[in-house]
Amino acid sequence: MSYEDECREFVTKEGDGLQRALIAGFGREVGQEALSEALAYGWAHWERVRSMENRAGYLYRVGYRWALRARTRRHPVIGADPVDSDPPSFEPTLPDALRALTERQRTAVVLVEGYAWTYAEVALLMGLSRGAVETHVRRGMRKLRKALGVNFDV
Amino acid sequence: MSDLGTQLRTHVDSLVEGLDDPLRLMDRLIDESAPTIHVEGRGDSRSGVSGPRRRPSAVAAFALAVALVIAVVTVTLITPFGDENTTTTVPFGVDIGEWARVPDPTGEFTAETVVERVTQGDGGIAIGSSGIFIESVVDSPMGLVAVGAEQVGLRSVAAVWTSGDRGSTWSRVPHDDSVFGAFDDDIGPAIGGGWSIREVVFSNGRFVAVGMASAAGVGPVAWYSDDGRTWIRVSAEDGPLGGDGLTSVTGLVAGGPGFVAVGGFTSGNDENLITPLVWTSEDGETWRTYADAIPPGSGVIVAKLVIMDGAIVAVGQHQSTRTAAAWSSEDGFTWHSVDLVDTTGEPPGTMLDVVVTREGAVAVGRASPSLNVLPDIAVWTTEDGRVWRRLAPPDLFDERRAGPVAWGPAGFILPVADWHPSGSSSTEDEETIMLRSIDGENWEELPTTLSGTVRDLIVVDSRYLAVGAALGPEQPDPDGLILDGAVWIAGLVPPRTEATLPPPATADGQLVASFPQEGPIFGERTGMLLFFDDGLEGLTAFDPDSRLVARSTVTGQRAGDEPYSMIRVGDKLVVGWAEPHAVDIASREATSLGEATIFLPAAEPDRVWLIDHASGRLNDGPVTAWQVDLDGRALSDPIDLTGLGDEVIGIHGGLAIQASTGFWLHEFDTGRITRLTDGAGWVIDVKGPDLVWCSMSCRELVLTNTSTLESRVRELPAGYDFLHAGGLSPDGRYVAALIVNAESGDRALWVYDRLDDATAAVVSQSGVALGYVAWSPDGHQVFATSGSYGEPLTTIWRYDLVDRVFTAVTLPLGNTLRPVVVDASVAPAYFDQNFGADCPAPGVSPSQTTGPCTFGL
Repeated sequence: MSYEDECREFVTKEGDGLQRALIAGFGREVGQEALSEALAYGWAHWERVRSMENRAGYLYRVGYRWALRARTRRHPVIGADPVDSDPPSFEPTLPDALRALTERQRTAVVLVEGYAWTYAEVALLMGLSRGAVETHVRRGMRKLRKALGVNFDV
Repeated sequence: MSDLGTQLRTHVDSLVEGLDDPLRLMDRLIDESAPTIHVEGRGDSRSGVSGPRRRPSAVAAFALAVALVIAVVTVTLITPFGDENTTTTVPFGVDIGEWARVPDPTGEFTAETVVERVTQGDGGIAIGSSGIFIESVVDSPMGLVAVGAEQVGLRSVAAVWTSGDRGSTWSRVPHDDSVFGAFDDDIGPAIGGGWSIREVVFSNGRFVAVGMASAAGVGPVAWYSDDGRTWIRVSAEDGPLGGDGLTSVTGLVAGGPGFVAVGGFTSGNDENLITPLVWTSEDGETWRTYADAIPPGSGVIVAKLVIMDGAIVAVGQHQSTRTAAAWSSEDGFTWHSVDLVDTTGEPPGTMLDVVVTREGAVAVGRASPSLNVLPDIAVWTTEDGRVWRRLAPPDLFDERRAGPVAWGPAGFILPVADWHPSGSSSTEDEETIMLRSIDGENWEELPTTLSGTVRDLIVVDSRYLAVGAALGPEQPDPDGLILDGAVWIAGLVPPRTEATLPPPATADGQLVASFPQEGPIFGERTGMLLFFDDGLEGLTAFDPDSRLVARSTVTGQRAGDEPYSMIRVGDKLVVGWAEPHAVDIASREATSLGEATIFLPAAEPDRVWLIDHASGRLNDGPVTAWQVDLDGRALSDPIDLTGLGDEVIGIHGGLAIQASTGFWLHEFDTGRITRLTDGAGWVIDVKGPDLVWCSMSCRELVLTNTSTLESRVRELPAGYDFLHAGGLSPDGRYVAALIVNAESGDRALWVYDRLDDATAAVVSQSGVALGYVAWSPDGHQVFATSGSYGEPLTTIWRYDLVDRVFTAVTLPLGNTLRPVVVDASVAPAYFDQNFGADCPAPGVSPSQTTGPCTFGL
């Protein structure tokens, strides 16, 4: 299999998760640019990346750190992104509530609660311990519940 | 409404909708391989994708670096202790929301870009990345001293820096292997290690510092200095602070018998068996060790020491229980444990730093004794040092780590960072968030974050000064994190000077000479000479203190309309075209730099660019460029610039070029090409990575870091419409620029303070049109002059930044073009020739027809 095919196979399998994790953490604009940065890095260094056990986690951290820097320049967060003009099928205050979470809390909450990833899967991607992910989710959900009201089915 | 999980998924899916999916992005990466990155637009705009051979952005390059840094590195900051001519002003405001990183134009804090890999015995690989770490800083009547270390790969040496101007500029103390350690010192079987300085204090006219060395066995080391520049190391081989085993030093204070240091001793292989150690010294030279001073038998780790009400207070943690602890001592070797009251219900914590206020002390630390769980920040207060009370933590403390705490006119300032999965180290790539509290209990988050890690924080003249480390602009290896030393300042905004002088004297509507008839021309001595390019083959030297003027030829100078005909580079003037020369200012000895059509200033010190047009004419035919030093040695192979545009000025690693397609930065060392604007770019000045310029209309000042491509745009002061000319101060802190009111034509000299991000002065005199700006070498004075080629009079403005005095004179001098300001000590080389003999009348040119001469005003 060529490098190109390997890259494509990897991105086909892991790309959506990377994209959602970064956009969950940093919003549409910075998250997508972070994804581009991570994929560009992965393509440029595929010789090294291909030998890793946790390629997705490695590239997630590439994008994560790039986004941290970009965030300080532009300050976009998930809640600030434009949404479709149609009535959203989510609580209108959800973006603001998400904004109050840390990037890690947002990412962990979205992946675990929104996309049903396991704690172990999120821990692998984010380079955290399983316990740390649990803590992020617990604290994030606590903040969300507080901001959105306690009557939600969570 | 669906459950929250579904809503979260729906929300994020809506954000993803319409974006390129990852596979499409990857396909574009594969298909659009390009040899160089082409960044368009100002600042950090980017295409988002690029080919596999592109140079990864600095951010991407460091993103994955989780380096195994074996050596502990500390850094010391030292600046030249010159005259303490600092401005003594009454501040008018406090702004601790705006932190500015101190410019480092001379690279005093710049680390090597080296990442070293060594295979260990177990087959693992030790990775050491280079960096400069500033660990501690202290104020003194002699100025500021900062300490730390420089690490190159896996080895480090201690380092010291000083600042004589309250932290605005710094210089590193010249390295001496015998004092600060050597990179090749024998450190036994260890893979990495070396020397570092952990903390510095000042007392009774002496600086004392303590740190670590893994040379000749790991152990603490002490240094002392009576001037901040010359240091003596208390011999490590004699074990002045140490002994057998692994001994570390964590705190130092001036108190007790003189100086007291604390640390711990680990015996055997059990790192958890730590014996607290105390060292005392009367003079910093001779030390005594106490192995059972704090408190006997308990096994504690002391983090920091402070003096409170005459007693020494230590904070840290009990080793056995991993709970916060504090002690006090009157003499430094007899210690008493003090009470801690904790009713918060939070996990036990660890005290890491402490600061004393008028009403007591505040300690900060970690709310968890273990690095393996998410920690929060914890705070304790005490009124008397004997009873400490734990405060209930606000939400701001969640999942954050505390840095050093300081107390000053704006209250407590506490730098914090988001919790990092790797623990307390390797976080220099993250952002530091600044928290503030007036009372120690209620905290707020300040709006500005610092890019880097704060290691120490002090208050200097009511300003907060932070030192630490930050990512360097170059990250050549994703496994290594290259860190530069960093200093940030926030606090009082200095007063702004505004002054307008009456128009100069006229007769029959014509400008006439006007200046004091005796004494120094500017009313006070300047200690400077002004050299004016005479537009021909020489210069006119003007001594405003002795009122002398001298005309003389300069070897290599010749008449022409090249963009630069006489500039100062280091201790030399660079002049001429076709064969530019470097002329030593003091001796006037000239050196050919080589044959080239013109020269351009370089961003790097002691270098210039030579630009050769094969036809001998600008804008015609093949063009090559190369950089030379001031001895004419070529530092690069000729670079073909044919067809790129007009070369404007050197930038860090390349040239700024104006083309019909815009104003471009060409970095030859990296291959990066950046367009700053699609129109014309007017360069004000360049120094190191700092490019000061404006776009076509010049209605704003733009400061671009050519390494990071980050730009700051600053509006002109009210009442002025565009920029005309200017220059960076020698230390890079200020920009002085001539600004113009478009309607009246009046001009003003605007001094913009990059450090405070504020206007320092706007001074003006109506009725005159000035064209040039020049700084004195010490940066204390700035001069603006009118070009007077073919005219009999020259108007000169002088603004003294130290005394904030503005003066203006119109002198009977003609043929004065771009000025250079030099120290008056070189006057004998310019003013001892043909005094009064055959000297042309003022305003009459040129020097070539009369030879050198001197006359008085």
